[in-house]
Amino acid sequence: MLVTISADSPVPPYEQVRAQLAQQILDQTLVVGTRLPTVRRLATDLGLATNTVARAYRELEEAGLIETRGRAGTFVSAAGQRGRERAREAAARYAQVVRSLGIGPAEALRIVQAALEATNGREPA
Amino acid sequence: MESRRARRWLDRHGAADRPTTPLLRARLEARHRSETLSWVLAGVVMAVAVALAVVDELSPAPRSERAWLFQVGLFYVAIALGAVGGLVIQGRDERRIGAALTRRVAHAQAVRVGTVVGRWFLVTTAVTVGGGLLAGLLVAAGAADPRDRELGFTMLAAVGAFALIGLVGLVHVVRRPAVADDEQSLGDDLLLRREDALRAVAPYPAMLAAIAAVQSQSLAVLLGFLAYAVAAVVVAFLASWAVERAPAARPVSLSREAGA
Repeated sequence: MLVTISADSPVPPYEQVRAQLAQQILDQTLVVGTRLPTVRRLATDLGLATNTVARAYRELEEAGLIETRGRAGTFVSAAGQRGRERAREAAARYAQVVRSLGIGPAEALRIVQAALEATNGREPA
Repeated sequence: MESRRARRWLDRHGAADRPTTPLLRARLEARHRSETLSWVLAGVVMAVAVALAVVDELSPAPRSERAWLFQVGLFYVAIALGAVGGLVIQGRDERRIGAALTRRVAHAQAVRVGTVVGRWFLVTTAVTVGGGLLAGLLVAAGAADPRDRELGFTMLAAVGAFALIGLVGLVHVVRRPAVADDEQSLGDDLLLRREDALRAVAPYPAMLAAIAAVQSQSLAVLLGFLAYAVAAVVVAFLASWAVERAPAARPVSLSREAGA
């Protein structure tokens, strides 16, 4: 359970921190309830400005992956896991719909793919 | 020279199969410099102490035992401050080393202070500080001879001063940034932190207790102070031995093989 920052990477440091923490939360390397380092601690350890790590934490919090509990610190939130569960439930419902319509798995996946690409295309740059 | 120091450090930590890295070599060199500085300062303080003792011996009106003990205590405080000062200088060097890294690694989850400093630090602190305060308090409150009670109060004050100095060193060791560029060096960082934390809680009060024991007026006080001094020195020695031989992170491929 590490966070790595590379000065050579074209990815901004805050995004490197955000993406790695998000990945570890989503693949449950960091389980619900795990306390994250303080913003200051992580910034010091990684040689980053405090604002850089604070931005990464803010975005993770907005995504529901972490939550700040006052002075107790920042913790991996259960909301992120609930979000995944909702996605699985939606996928199960979709699978039932395409089966009832007689659509094959390959075409069903293509529809999902197109929908994801359309959603990504609508995201602000 | 730097490479040999790193080689010895890895060997001691049971990682003889790991090659030394420039980062580890630089960090151990920074530690060596700060330790040398602390030892030089300790040498100067001891030389001054010996010189003053000689002057005192030649003086027609020698000082009281209490004043002498107080002076010895001050010397130890100076040595302890030098050790903590060395840690601070080392921290400054390590921040410079860290700033030069193009890749930095940190723990993704909060690490407890107890994990950072290690259980040996906690044991050593409990025996050195806790035992010293208890010994001082018992003698200050329960000794029959007033001179013994004064010794007890002096011990209490000295242990309190060393505890404060140790706390400053501990805060520095805990709060300083991790200097690591991969998982192994992050493991090394933890081991180095534990070694440094022990430096902050050196058993100076035990040495003072040994001197106080010699000056005590009763056998019970003498044995009490000596028992504390021996216990503190033995625990400090064991802690130092254990921490300097705690296993370091192994090469990733070998760790996987061992775990398979």
